[in-house]
Amino acid sequence: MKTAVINIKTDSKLKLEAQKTASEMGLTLTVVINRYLKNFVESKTISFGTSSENEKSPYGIFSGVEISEREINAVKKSWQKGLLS
Amino acid sequence: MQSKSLGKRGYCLDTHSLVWYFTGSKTLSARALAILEEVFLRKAIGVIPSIVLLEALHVSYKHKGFVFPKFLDSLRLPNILIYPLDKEVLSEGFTLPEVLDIHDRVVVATTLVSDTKLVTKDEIITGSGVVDTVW
Repeated sequence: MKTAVINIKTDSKLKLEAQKTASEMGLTLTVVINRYLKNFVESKTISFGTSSENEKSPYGIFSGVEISEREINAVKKSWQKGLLS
Repeated sequence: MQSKSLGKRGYCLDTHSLVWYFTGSKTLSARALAILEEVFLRKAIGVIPSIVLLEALHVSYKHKGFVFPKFLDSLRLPNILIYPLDKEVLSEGFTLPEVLDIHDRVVVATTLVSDTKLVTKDEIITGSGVVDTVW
């Protein structure tokens, strides 16, 4: 990957807070900014929604779909059959 | 450059835990549900081995209600890392016990390399004692 450098001006306090938050999540500010940039390019939208809007859990978004452990294991087995035969 | 190690602050997610979270299945344990909620509400780091995505894709072929693009879209969070099957994971995978199948080997190796806890119900993985698991 060819990299480029972006210089932006921001509030120094905001920068420190963002770095601290990213660090608490085990991330660097570079990772966070790159993720935002990718999201912007892919979605062509800028999200300034409230945190409750942005933090909606996808739990049960496919509710009604029953997938058993056996079926998930069958996926593994079918793959391995293909790989090992 | 950021270290790949997450210092056991994060969770590696196995296929069934993710699939059951998205389908709202009661088979998901209360503890696993709480962890996945933490991850999807951006309060914890989630690591997803690349092979888990491929397994989920194959599950979606059989269950049309499991919409793979929507599933993928939900994973686009800054605290969720899709972990590649890179040289480090491969090397780790070569050292693991024979009892682990190819898929489990990638999942366990990814858990070890990312230094996370694995959210899994898989008894073979749990029984191997190679990684910290939660369920």
